[in-house]
Amino acid sequence: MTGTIVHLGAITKSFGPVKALHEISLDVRQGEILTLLGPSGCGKTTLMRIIAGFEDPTTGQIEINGTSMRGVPPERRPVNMVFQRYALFPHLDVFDNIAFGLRIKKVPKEQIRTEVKKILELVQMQDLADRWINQLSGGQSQRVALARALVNQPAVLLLDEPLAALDLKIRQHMLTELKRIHTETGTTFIYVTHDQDEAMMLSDRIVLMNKGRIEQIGSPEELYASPASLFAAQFLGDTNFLDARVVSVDGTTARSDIGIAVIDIPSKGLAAGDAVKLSVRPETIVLGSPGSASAPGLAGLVKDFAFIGNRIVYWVTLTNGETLRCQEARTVQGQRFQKQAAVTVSWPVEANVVLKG
Amino acid sequence: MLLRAYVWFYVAVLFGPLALIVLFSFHSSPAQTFPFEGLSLRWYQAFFDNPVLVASLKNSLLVASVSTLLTTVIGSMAALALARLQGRMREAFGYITFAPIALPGLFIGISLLTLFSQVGLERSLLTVTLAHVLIMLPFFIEACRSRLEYFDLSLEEAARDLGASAWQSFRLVTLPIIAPTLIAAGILSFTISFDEVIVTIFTSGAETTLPIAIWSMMRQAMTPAINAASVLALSCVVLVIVAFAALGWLRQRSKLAGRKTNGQKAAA
Repeated sequence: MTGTIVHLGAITKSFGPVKALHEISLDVRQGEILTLLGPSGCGKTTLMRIIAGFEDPTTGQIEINGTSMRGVPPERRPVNMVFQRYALFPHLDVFDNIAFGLRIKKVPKEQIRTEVKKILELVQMQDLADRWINQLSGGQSQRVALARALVNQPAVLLLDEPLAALDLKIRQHMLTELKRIHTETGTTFIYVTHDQDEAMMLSDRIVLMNKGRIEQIGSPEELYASPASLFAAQFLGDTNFLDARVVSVDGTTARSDIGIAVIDIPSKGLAAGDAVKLSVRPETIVLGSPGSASAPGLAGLVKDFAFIGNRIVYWVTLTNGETLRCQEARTVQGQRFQKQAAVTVSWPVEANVVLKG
Repeated sequence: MLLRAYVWFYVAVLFGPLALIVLFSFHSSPAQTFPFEGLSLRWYQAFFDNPVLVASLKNSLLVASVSTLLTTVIGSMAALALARLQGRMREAFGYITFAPIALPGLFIGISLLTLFSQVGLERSLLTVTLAHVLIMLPFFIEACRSRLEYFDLSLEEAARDLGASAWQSFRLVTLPIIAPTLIAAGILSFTISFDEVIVTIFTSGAETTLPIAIWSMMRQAMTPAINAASVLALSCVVLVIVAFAALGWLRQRSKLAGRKTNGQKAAA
């Protein structure tokens, strides 16, 4: 991970009166998997199309490998793209689809054959070279689309929601395949998705976007553990929000009032009297039976519960009527609480992520 | 059972007259009625001995070919543009394109006649060809439009992304994919031109096309040579369709062969 391969400087993009991107600045590092994550309409696809050359930024700079790409058409950029619906050529077979880029570059026939063969092995499609495109399954089409882009050895591979059209099982398999292919080729990936799970599994870094702006850039762990905004906390994973007012600051902790109790939260940068929002992840909340000494905490009632595979989610209503989503791993004991059971909830000081209200 | 009988009845009504004409074009006697007295090519002989009919057949082939070519170029570009238009523009353009189909041939004929005399264009095969292009265009565009509207534009982007220039991506991706549609629309146009009568009457000068020649012959006397002429006209159209079908079949075969060598190459 050395050096910057794509540099975006204050990119804006307007479609008529609509501003799709506001001053996006971003450096993509050599060899990383960078994900542009965000809800639909956040500008992530527009940003990718600007990198690919299908859209021109209204203002701003774009450099790939240190060369400005302003005004450079897509066919002369050292990037290749995997399209959302693959965009495989229906009149060509698998081999000819993959060879398309090499033929345009007038690579000698012999070399085309070896390179296509090599890339077919990489995506594990070596037996299907002479299939027609309409004879392929979704997963296979995906592999061909990958191979068709990668065979050109792009400086950056752009992937536009490549798994959106696949069903869940194949999607998860393709994710691990993408990771393997990334490791084997060392190509820089820029990956666009609205799916947080995909982003978390795949990325070295995530660029979280919202309404044409970057909300936060960081590793999946950073984004999950220390969201910088309400939007970030909400978009990645599930969380509970609590309104709090800082009562007093004492070293690394701050006493703060959450209405039904006064709890300790990390004091970083806070002063007495500040109004803040706390984000508390469901899995950090510890459930206990009332009265047991090991579980002090807020009293509540189990309103509902749900099994999510190996986890159990409890919705616990506190005495002020607010409901917290709590989650614990399912253990050999099975489900510990029934509906309407009285419980206590508590969480460690560090579990409180402080967001400005 | 009843349905089956109906289907045969339907086919008989459709093709019965056709079969009769073909049959009597080979009749050895001038009688156009049964009993059938024997086979002969004498009416074809009569057709080819008639310089007016032969010339008009050549004219028809020439006019149909040239106007089909012009229509294909103009029409395919229009249809491609239509596929790229958005919203209201597209709807409006679609209606405008389609409207001439509903216009009476009489109206088109008279207005073209006026137009040609205004610009000082003498009536000739050229004016007939231009008139045919005008008649064929809406049919051509309608025939390929629905197909082209569903053409996935990201295919062109994919080609550009893989290094193809705008022209290369059209030639290597768009054109091969839409070619069958264009050819089908072209065949339709050819047949429309080949038997067009009304507008041709208004716009043709001294030289005329086969349908007009047959029609004016029929006003004088009904000879079985007309049967032969009609069958020849029919054969021309059938030949065009068969030729293109064979072409498509050959292309498919050569592709299959190419595919096999690819496979061997990749496996080798």
